[in-house]
Order: sequence, then structure tokens, then C-alpha cells
Amino acid sequence: MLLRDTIDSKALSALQHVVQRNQTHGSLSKKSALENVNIIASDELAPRANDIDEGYYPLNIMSALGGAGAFGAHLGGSSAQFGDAISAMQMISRACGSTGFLTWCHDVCGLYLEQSGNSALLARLPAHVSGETFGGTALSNPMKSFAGIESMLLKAEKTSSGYLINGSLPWVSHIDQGQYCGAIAAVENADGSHSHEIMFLLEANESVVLKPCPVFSGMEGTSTKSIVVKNLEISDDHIIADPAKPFIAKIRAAFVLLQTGFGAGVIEGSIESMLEVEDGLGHVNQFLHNRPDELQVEFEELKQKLQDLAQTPFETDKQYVIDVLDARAHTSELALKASQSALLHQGARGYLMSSAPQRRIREAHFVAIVTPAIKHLRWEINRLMKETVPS
Amino acid sequence: MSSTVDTNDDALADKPWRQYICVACGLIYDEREGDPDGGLAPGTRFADIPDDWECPVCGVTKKDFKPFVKRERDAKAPSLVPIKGEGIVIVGGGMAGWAMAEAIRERDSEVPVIMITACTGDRYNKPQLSVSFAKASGRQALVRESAMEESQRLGVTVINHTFVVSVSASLRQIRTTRGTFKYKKLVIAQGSQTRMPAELPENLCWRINVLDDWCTILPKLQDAPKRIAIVGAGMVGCEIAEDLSRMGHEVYLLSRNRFPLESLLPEIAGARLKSAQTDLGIKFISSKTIEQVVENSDSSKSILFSEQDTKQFDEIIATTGVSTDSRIANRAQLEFENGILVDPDTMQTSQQHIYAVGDCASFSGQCYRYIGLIDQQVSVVADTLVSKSSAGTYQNNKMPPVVLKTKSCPVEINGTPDVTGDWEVVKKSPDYLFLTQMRNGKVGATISVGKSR
Repeated sequence: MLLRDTIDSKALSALQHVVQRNQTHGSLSKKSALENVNIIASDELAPRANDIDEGYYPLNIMSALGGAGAFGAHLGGSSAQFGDAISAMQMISRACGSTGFLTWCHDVCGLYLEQSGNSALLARLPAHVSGETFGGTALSNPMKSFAGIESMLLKAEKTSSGYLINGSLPWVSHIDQGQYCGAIAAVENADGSHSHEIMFLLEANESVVLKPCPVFSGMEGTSTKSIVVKNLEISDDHIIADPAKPFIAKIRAAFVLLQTGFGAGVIEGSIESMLEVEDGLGHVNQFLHNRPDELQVEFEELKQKLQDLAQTPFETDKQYVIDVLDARAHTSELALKASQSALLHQGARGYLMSSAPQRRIREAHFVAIVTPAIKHLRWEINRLMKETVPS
Repeated sequence: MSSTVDTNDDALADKPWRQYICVACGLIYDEREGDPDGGLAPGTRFADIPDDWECPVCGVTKKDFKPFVKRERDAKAPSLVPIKGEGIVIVGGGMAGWAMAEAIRERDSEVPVIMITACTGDRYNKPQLSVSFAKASGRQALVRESAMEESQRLGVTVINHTFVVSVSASLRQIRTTRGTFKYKKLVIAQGSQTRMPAELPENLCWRINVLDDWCTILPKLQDAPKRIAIVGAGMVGCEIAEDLSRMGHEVYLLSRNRFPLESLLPEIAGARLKSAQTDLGIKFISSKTIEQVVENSDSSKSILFSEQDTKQFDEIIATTGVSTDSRIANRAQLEFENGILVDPDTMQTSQQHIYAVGDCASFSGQCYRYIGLIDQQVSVVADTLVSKSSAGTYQNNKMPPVVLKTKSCPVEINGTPDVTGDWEVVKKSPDYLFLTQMRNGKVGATISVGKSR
């Protein structure tokens, strides 16, 4: 299922490319990769944050970030640095939550390509990592389906050459014509029952109709569409995992853990907004609860927890998975708390439509409701912590 | 307490009925109700109980009972809404958790107390679980007070069906499956869980560690006689074996050892217990190691032994001992050795503001899982947390008796026995055996097996 026994030379060179990139960015020069990401985030991304929030899809900036090494730290097998991938995402999200979220979509798609072990998909990895091509993830529905919350929306039918996919998904981010995303479909038997699920790279071609979603309260530049799939043919070259479940079990913690970089950036930006006004408003802000120093202490503890968990992203031990889910929930809770407090600290200034604190309120709520939402995380932790008993 | 005065026409009822608690198992003798099964008519005053009367649950005699005083709340009722960051949080709604809540309320009626518990939080007497299948009809028979009633009586916010996921001692924050709480002081009373060896899959083997377990398996035991394997012949295993045997089930007691309770009893005593079990129809399968458990197509289960033989059962119950889950302790960075290490004087853990009581507390690596020790532990913690006066000190020096509540052959162990040491037979009759063990010229431990009359 994972690294297939035979990886052809093309695929091998693709993997080596990523490894090499990480080594170049590794140890001594690693800092400069993150520094470059930080410079792009502050100089190019931050000024466009409100435009992006309102609908500008920043593929040009994503390209620049890819070129700087923002999307590859978590790849490359033994040289992977998940902690750095989270840190890079945090820097981006601190400047613009929408782009922080796009970074997560892009990062997990890279993870699917790499972990598939499929040479055809591995060959696409270098262009993906460097931001020449773009792709995200459509696993919100399947993840909830596997947790017993929803049923699977995409269906696959076995054909002589692969599978035929049909169905629709309500919202997929970081998708556009010519782009792609990781998706999962339930394989239907002739009698309508499901044999198993497959995971594949869904390319937005003529068999896929992208429809605009109703207007969201923010994060409009994430190119979030509903997708309708009609008779999309899938060949072996598209298969990420068949069956999908063992693959998901392996990458689940990494998938959730990476997302914390998005929330962490919102928290960091919020604390900065509070400190920004401290000189002028500190004399009255002292009466607020959730003061920046208080939040910073909690944030430091959370960041340390995330970096510790990032050491073993493919661990499947139940206690580890619970820790990852809990850290993700903590990120949401702290993002909500910090973003609200940032607006209170800035007062009317923070309530201006152009201000970062009001935008971050909406970003933080997205952190808290996007799959896995706080309620999904607690549902799943509850399920994992319950003792199994005979039936 | 005046409202509890009974006004029935019994001439004795001019004094309020009193209640007495068994220090060994926690059963409450209520004078109003008596113990009809044990020959005490309703209305029998404690003073009138004959000295040889036995606790209906655990079999100790009258001398091991003490007056039970239900702790009432002060008239000044605290709000049920916790004041953020100011309250005491108790993790666990078992006997130790509720005893902790009561001890706090005895001393302070206002401090906010939140109890977070994975179970329902209903109050019941845990030692009864292993001896109540035959006589109790359902959950209501075991619940002394519901979580709701206790919550209102004591002014404690109960957050039930909720798991504690992690604790941050530096932030004084407790993360749960129903939100994050701040605490001023935290008391961990998480109890213990059945230790499940890898060869006993959780989806095939029952455990009877909490009331919810008991309630789930009960209907399976009530419908028809079954072949039941009880794995592990410790205290709980022996008690359940007898209870289920009395219900008419075909009971097999499986053990790695030669006789039941081998870790507590010398062979001469264990052999008596084994023979009493055999007389009841319990089949003791000794010196066996389980290799694997598999489910059959007819939903029966087969146990494969390392000797390559197989035996088929309808239900398997694991009574393989208990251990303390280390998750909360690890996440809170509490020192842990078989349990949460506590200072034996104060019950404080290795972190300031965090205490541990009951089954989960470890004294230099040793957990003493006795109901009888809880009261003093929670008193010490309550003194430290809320008392204006100086804190008491917990002295873990007097061990309560270990009582095996099997009616066919009761066993009582007193003192601190050394199983491998020498025992002196003091009394020996076909029905009764009394052993003593000397230490430094004094009686260090005694064991009684069977009935002295």
C-alpha cells in the first residue's frame, strides 16, 4: 500500500529532488528558507491580506512561497522536518490566514503524492512543492465519514481500466480548472453496497464542474468551490491508495498536525495586534482579561507541544493520535480567544473593516469550524478514549 | 437532620433512625430498613444487632461498622456556575471523587467545585459490583444517589460522560472532551482500570470495573444459563465466580496459579477456598496460560491455551487485576510509579496544586486500593485546600482488613502478611481455619478462612 516495491527511476529522482531540497534548506541554511518565507509573508502577503480575504486568490504569492521552500519541509522521507513545515505555515498565516490555509491544503496534497508511492504521482511532486502547479484536498467529507459523522459523497465504479467517479462535494478549497486535489470515493458493488474506498488525485478537467459557493463571511480568496464530478475516469496513475483506509490511518495524525500551523499564525498575529497598541492603550487594556502576556505563555506551551508532536508525525499509537487531536483543538480554542481579545485591545481601530483584528476574528472562526472542527475533534477523542466492550 | 426523624408508630422511633457504614466495603446499614435477609427485621437498632451478625455484602461483623453521617450542605448555597479559575476541580466521580467533594463541602460551602467524570457519576458502592448479579435487578438497585441528586445536595457542578484529555500544570488548565476548564486546585480521583493482557481482546472479554460495565453485561447474564469463563482468580474473580454460579451459570475460574488468591494466601488456606468453590459447582482450571481468544461464528468464544487445547465459552469476563491509567499523569508531568506518586503526609503529587486520592494514588510505587483508606485521604486534602485551620496529616499506617465476600467460604486477612513466610495454624476445623504470622515477636498478620461457627 505504501512505498510500492518497485519505484521507477523517474519517481526516484523526484523523491531525491525533494530530499536534496530539504538538505539544502536543512541545518545551516534551513533558517534562511524560513527567513525567506517570512520576508515574502511580511512584504508581499501582509499588504494583500484584506484583498485575499475578500476574494483575491493569491497564486502568484503561493508560487513565490513555493520557490522559497515553504511547501516541502514535511516531505522527503527521513529528512522531513514537520516542525519546520508548521513554522512556515504559521509565518504565512500570521500575515494572512487565508493563505495560511491554502498552504495547509497544498502541504497535505504534497503529503498524499509522496506517501502514495505511486511513481506517476511522485513525478508530479517537484512542480507541486516549488509552487509551479497547485492542488489541495477534498477529505473533509471522507474524514467525517470515517469517524461516523457523515456518509461518503463520491462513488466509484470499477471499470476495466480503473474507476469511474461520480458525485459532488459541497466545498473544496484551493481548487480551480487545471488544478487537482486528493479525494476519496466509496467503491460501489452492483447491488449498491460498498466494498471499500479508494483515494485518488482528482484533476479538475472537463468531467469536473466547479461551481462558486455562496459568499462566506471571510477567507474568500481560498478559491473554495463546490465540485460536481460526472463520469470522471481514474487510472492507476491517479491512485493514491487502494484501499484508502489504511493509508488514512497512517497519515491521519500528520494531516491534522500540519493544520495547526494555520491556527498558530492567527494566534501569533492576534497577540502582535494587542502589543501594537500597548503603549497607547495599555493603561485601559490592563482591565481586560486574556492579556497578551497571558496568551503568550499559553501559546509558547502550545508551540512546544506541536514541535514535540512533529517529531513523529506517522505514529499511529492511540495516545499519540489523541494528543494530536487535542493539540489541534487547543489551537482552535486559543485562536478564538486571542483573536477576540485582540479586537477588544484595539477597540474601534480593530473594528475598522480594513483592520487585521476583525479579519482574524473571522479567520479564527474558520480555524475552529474547518474539518476537523472543535466538535469533530472532541467527538473523535471521545470515541478513542472509550473502552471497547463485547457486543 | 431533624427532617429525617421517622414518624411511624414504632415505639422506638421516637429517636431518629441511624445509619452505620461498613468500614471494609462501604455498605450502609440503615436501622429503619434492617437486614431482613440477615435476620434483622426493619427497625432493628444497631445496638440490638447480635455480635455475630455479618455485613450482607462483605461478611465482616458489627465491630467493623461505624456511625454514618451524611454530610449536609450549609444553608448558604453556592452557585452551580463555576467561578472561573477559582474553583477546585475533581477528576473522577467514583467513591473517592464523591468522598472528596463531601469533605470539601464539610469545610467550605462556597468554594466552587467541579467534578469531571467519564461515567455517569451516580453514586454507588463499588465492592457490591462483584457480588450483586444474583440479587440485584438492575442499575437502580445499586445506585445510592444519582449524580443529579448528589450535585444538588453538595452544590457541585458535575460534568459527566466527559474524558479528561490533558492537564497543564503551568497554565492550571484541564482539557476535556467537553471544553477546557481552569482550576485553582486539582484533585485526581481517577480510580483504576482492569489490566487487559494482550491475549484478551477488549471486544471479546468483559470487564466489571464500574457500574456502567455491570449494567451492560447484566442482561446477558439474566436471560439463560451460560458457560462463563472468569479469567483471573483474585478477589474480584472469586467473588464474581461465586455470584454467577449461584445464578445457575456454568462457571469456569481460570488461573495461571494452582489455587485461588495465590498471591494473598498460603496453600493451606487457598486449598480450602478452592474446595468450597468446587462444592458450589465452580470449575477451577489451574496453572493455565491463555494464548489467544477468538470469536466463533455462533458468537461463542474459544480460549486457546498454550498447551494447545481449546475451550469454548458463551461469555468471558476478565478479572485480571487493575492498574492506573498514566495518561493524565504523563500529560500533567506528574511523577508516576504504578500510580500517581503522592507525598504520604499531604497527598500532594509532584506538582503544586495537584493532589491524588483513592485507587490512583501511589505511595512510593505502592497503591493501596481499599475503600477504608479513602476517608482519611480526602480529609487531609480538604484540610489543605479549604480549611482555615492547620492541615491534617495522612498517616497510611493502619491497613483495613482484606475481606473476600464469598459466602461459601469467607476469607479475612488482617495486618500485613508475607505470603511466602511461615504461618501458624491456630484453629482448624472442617469449616474453619485461622492462621497467624509472627513478626518481631508480635502477631503481624492473621488469616481466617471459612465460618467460625
